[in-house]
Amino acid sequence: MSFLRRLSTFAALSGVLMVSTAWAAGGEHGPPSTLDEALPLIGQHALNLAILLGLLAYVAAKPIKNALAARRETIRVGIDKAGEAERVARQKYDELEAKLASFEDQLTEMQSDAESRAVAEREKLLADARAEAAALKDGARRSIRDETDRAVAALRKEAAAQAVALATQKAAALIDETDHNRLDHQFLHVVNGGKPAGVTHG
Amino acid sequence: MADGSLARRYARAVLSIARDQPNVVATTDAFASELASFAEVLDLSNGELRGVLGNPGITQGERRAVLDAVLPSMNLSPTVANLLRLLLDKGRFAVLPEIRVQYMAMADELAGRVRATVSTARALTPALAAEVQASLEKATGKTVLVTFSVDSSLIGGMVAKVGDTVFDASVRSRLTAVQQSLTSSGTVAEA
Repeated sequence: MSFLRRLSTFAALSGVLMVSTAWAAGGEHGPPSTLDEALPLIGQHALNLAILLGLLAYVAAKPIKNALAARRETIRVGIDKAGEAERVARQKYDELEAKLASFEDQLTEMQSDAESRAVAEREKLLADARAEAAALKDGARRSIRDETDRAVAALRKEAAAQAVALATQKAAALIDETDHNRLDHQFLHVVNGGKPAGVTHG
Repeated sequence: MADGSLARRYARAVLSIARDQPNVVATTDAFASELASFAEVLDLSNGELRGVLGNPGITQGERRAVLDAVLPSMNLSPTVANLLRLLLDKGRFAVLPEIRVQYMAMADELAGRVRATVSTARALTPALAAEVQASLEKATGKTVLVTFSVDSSLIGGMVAKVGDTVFDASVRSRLTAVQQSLTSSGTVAEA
């Protein structure tokens, strides 16, 4: 209802504004050439402006006022929200800061643990490597000793075989009747029990 | 091992028959001689008779006929002949050589004999051979049947094997002992 009344008022004032505007335009006259001629025209335009402003103030004051109030409220709510958001953000920041501090402690602890483990692992690896090296060394020593023993035994066997082969050849070449007779008697001596070492039992 | 046990049973059976005869030693020797003769016949012509008698491709009747044809010409005693027939019938002809060995050992033991082989570096004079035999008989306390052979690898001296006992007084054995001693003691390496 109020709006219809305002609208009708606005329409009436608009009509006055149009008439005054036409009047201010000067009808068929050209532009004023002196200040005395221009002053009334300026007054008319000023009046038109006042009417227009009054008209606008009358019609739009309340909506503008409401809009500004709404805007103020929006801004206030926004400021409140921003404050709340800032508070939440600060809280989160504090939490994160605390966590970060905790992380740093944990990180330091983890780093310390990792270093300890690395040191222990290095010691273990070194110990294992030393043990393995010692085992390899022992194995190599044993292998060398065994090979040496085998080689010495083989050489000894070969030398003994060659010595006996030479002795056999020499004995076969040098043995004579006297030796045969002596050996025959030695055999009889063995059989008669004189030399048990020459007797074996299968 | 099983053949040895089996052979001993057959040999013991033949020996028990021999012991029932008036002249035990002569009979056991005769049986041993017959077994040896038959073994020689088996080996004649590259063992042809042994091959026939042991051939499972020939029927039992045919093999028995072959054996019956051979035995009369050999003048074997009934005991030995029956032993051979029994072995053929039982399919145990392959055990005969072991039976012979076992029987001869039992016969020797029964007669108080022992067999010996004497290897010498050179041929012995009869006098020395007799002396060796006498020494072996004295050492064993039994009659020793010696088989002499010459083995020049002995270089000098003799080796006698009597049963499980070996009398070794050869140069070769002494050199072998020296070699073993050198090999085990390390004298060569130290020298």
